Amino acid sequence: MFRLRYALVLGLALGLPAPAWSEDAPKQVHVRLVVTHASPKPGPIDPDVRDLHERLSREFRYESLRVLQQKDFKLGMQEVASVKLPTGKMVKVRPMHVGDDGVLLSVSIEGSVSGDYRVRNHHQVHFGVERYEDGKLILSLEANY
Amino acid sequence: MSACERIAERLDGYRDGELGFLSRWRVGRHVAGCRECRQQFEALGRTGDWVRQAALASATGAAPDFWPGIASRLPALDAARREEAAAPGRFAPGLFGPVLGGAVAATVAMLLWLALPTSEPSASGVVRALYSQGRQVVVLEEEGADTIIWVMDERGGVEGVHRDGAEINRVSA
Repeated sequence: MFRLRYALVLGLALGLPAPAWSEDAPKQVHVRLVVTHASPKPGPIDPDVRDLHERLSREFRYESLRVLQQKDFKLGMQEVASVKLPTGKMVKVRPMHVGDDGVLLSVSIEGSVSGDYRVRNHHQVHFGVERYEDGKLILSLEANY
Repeated sequence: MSACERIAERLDGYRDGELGFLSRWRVGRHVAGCRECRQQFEALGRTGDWVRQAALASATGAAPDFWPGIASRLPALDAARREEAAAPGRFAPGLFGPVLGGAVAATVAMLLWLALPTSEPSASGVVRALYSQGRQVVVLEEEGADTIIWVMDERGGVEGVHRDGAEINRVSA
């Protein structure tokens, strides 16, 4: 009887699909993608991207910021979200892992950069992607979990 | 990027024992269950053995053109050299002492220089891997602020001018 119980416990332990710590990890990540156009022409700063303006204006010169599109996704691990930029290029985002130091996201921007980024809650990553009209397209990414 | 591609990037580090505990465990688990990655790992081991043999041949005079810098870093070769040095009557410290002493001092100085902390602020470590397809990319990371990854446009434009006035790309008319 003891042997049977021992074998059962051992079997359950060996049969665990993943380590215990991963059980607490969130299964879904909320990802927000915002596409903004920065232009050298005088114009308004879109109030929805005030935070972006505060960060970006310290580094680059432009006169106006306009939000072109915004999308929210709830993604499971390895699930892919796609967004089409006004230039026709595709952006793909895939959460890979959630850990203590943030969510690891794979971001691929067609014809531009692709990479892996470890993003903490409420931290934003802004990609100055490519030329659009007289300025530049900016893709902002935020992940919460 | 597939799981196999990610593992392939770490195989070298896994073989050399340079990975942390968790990464080592992940790579080991994957290699154990994936035939292709296991073959790649075994091929890596064969390449390392070949390099060691070639280096040893160089040290013994069989291949005199082999780059001595690589040879001196290989542990197996170091062991062979130690054995040779331990053999009586093979080493003349009076002649090589000053040269070796200088080399050791230079190595220690370089290691100390590498170990010293730099004055640059530590980045937040958001970017783990970045493939820019040959295009210039500026990554601006600072503690407590959002991260900016700026892909430079080949034709220049408003995006090429940094706020401090430094031109980091050609500005179009």
